[in-house]
Amino acid sequence: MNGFKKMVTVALCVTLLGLALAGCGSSSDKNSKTDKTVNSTNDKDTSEITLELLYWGDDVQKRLVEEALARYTADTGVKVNAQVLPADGTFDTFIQTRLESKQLPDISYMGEADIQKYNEMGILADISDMLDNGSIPAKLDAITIHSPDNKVIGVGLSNQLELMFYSKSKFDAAGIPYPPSKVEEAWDWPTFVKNAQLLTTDTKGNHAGDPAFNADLTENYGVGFTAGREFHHFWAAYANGGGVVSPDGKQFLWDSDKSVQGIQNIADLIQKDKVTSSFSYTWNSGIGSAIDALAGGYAMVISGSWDLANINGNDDIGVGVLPKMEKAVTMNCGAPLVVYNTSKHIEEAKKLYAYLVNPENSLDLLKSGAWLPNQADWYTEPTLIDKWTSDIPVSAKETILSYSNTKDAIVQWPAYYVPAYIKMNTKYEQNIDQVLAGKKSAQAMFDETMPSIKQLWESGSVSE
Amino acid sequence: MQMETEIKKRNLPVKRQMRGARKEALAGYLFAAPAILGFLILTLYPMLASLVYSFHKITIVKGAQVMKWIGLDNFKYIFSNPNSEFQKSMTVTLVYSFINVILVITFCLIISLLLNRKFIGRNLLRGVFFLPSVIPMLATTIVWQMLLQNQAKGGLINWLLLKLGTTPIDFLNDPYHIFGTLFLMSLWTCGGTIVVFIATLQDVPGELLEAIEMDGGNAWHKFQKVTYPTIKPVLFFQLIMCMMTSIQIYTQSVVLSRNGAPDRMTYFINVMIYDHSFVQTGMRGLASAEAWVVFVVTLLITTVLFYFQGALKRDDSMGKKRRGRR
Repeated sequence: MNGFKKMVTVALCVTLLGLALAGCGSSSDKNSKTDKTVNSTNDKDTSEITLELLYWGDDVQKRLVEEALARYTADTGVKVNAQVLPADGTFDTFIQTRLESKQLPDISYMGEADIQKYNEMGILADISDMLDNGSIPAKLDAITIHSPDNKVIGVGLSNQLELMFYSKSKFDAAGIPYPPSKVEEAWDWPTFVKNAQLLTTDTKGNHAGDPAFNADLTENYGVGFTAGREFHHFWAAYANGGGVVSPDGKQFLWDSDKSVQGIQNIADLIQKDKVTSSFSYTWNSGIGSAIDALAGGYAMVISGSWDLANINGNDDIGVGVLPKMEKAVTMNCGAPLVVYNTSKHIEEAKKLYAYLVNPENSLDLLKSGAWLPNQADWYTEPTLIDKWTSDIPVSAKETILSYSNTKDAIVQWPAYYVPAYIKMNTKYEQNIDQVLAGKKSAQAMFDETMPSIKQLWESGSVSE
Repeated sequence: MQMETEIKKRNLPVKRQMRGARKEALAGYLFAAPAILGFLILTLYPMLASLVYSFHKITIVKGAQVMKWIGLDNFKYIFSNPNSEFQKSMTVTLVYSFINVILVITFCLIISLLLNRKFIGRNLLRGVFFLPSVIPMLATTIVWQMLLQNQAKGGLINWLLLKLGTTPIDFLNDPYHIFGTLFLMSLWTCGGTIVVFIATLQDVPGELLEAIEMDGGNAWHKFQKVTYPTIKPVLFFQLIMCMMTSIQIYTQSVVLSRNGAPDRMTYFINVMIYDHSFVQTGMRGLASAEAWVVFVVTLLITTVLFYFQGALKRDDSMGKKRRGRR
């Protein structure tokens, strides 16, 4: 009996140990098995190839991507093991973890601001050949991402634009015409501020700008936006004739007087004009945030075009162009897709890449408004335009086409092409809150911060 | 020959005992092995690796990690470079931690003393205080954020204030209010500490409390002379634990703010280390050095607390003293 107990004890311990070790090593075991299978097979026999794709998205996006991949496998015989992750900061951490463990996928989405970082690490494949040989039709310049040595390292899956969303009923109630949907008709800054003031009311119904208006008791705001995130206010620096870094990456514009004034105009909306709430309250810029804000106490919301996905069927919401200062511009973004040069099946990975960046294969996402096409002809060819604009509001269609077909109306987000961007922007975001909170002028903050930001830019490197 | 056989016979049980003890020890080690292995692989190895990293500049070139020995440069940067974010971050973290520990321990003690009294609905109230602590911090923070948002974004508290004709409060935007919000959240989720205190209070000798009552003592006398000396060790333990968890604050900052705004008041040390290690590039060595400095600071604080532990030791002599006087 005693011996039996001992045997059971030892057996239990061994089982526990086994489980613990298995728990530690399961993931790598699986991957190594996959690798072995892949290595041992003839690469030309595509039915034996399994590519790995990492992407982010909600349930709808997951379904659409899985459907596209199923079609791809049916067409080519190449299997794709797709793993979906939440669309937040954890995605980059996950990629880094895979990099550390030498288990990078073949292909993945990537944050706009991260692509230069991974390029500098030397793990991204050059996809210029696919653009040169036409296997990928020319994409919009604004979402074609180059390395400092001018290789193409990625193209955006979507061409997201910063837009002005507004509540028609609130404009109707205030008797104000809707924001225009043509770039050439964009409101000038004073008109925008005046209208925003008319739409901002306190609990007694006084408008901002009225002598009787009590800003402490503001009930409805004229405009809301994610001020603390640089992407959501950089357009103002460009609109005022300044910028961040010139498109060729050779000129530092961030500390120019025009940029400072553009950013100051944004801060004034909070502190001087009193037409928007304190900055941190509008930080969340995920899908649906614009719609929530318009349903609440905001009449206009400046947000990304991804929010179009949530306004289908909501007739109260319209879309217009951003106000102009010296000129009317918007800024674009759009997560790129990348191929890792560590892939054992780089040719197949590139073919999958070409398949995924083809707007035809993401039609459902385009029609929903969650994505905008990444090819120029989809903004000019009537038959192609009809493919993706039938379900989005007319004002949104007009606004997007107007931006896309007006020269220099879309500014590329510097995150795409400035190597040290993450560090520069971290420094900027750590200080801009003092301007938005009215504790410092934009000029004072820029004077203190820009020398070190400029130094980072001059390093031309992500990691220095 | 007979003698030898005798000795052998006498030694047999000792040998058996020793063999049994060895087997027992082996079984014990085998049972503990998963935990020991877990500690070695998941705690000790990363700690030692980060110590090695802290003396290196780490970059990734062509997919491979390249480590360049830079000696104490990372530590020098932390303490002497004007661009270092460590000092501000550590100050904010320590200020938050000290105030938070005092608030949490005091609050939990008062609540547990109240919940230790007999009254109708006591168990329900205990449940009410404990329940928030089982909800993940991420969910709690999101709910608080929604409550404290600006009224135009649907913030319930500010909407109520506005309806009452009062100026809404910048809970998430003002450097001081954000700290208040964090303390409030901390108190909201300290049910676990309350439960531990209530369990400890069951240990307080009832006859001594009765004796004080009979001597004409009031509630304060009871607490001072009996309750406090009994719960001192647990109080000390909770103090250490609360200090540790306060220094490790992370989720609340990440959900409620960005980059430590407003005015870097929520750029806590763990947020900074994560940022340097996983968001920025080429700063993993620096992040490791920062983590080690935090480790040393935490160790120092704990040592100081242990030094004062004497004052917090359970006073078992109180009964004897009373008996001695008699």
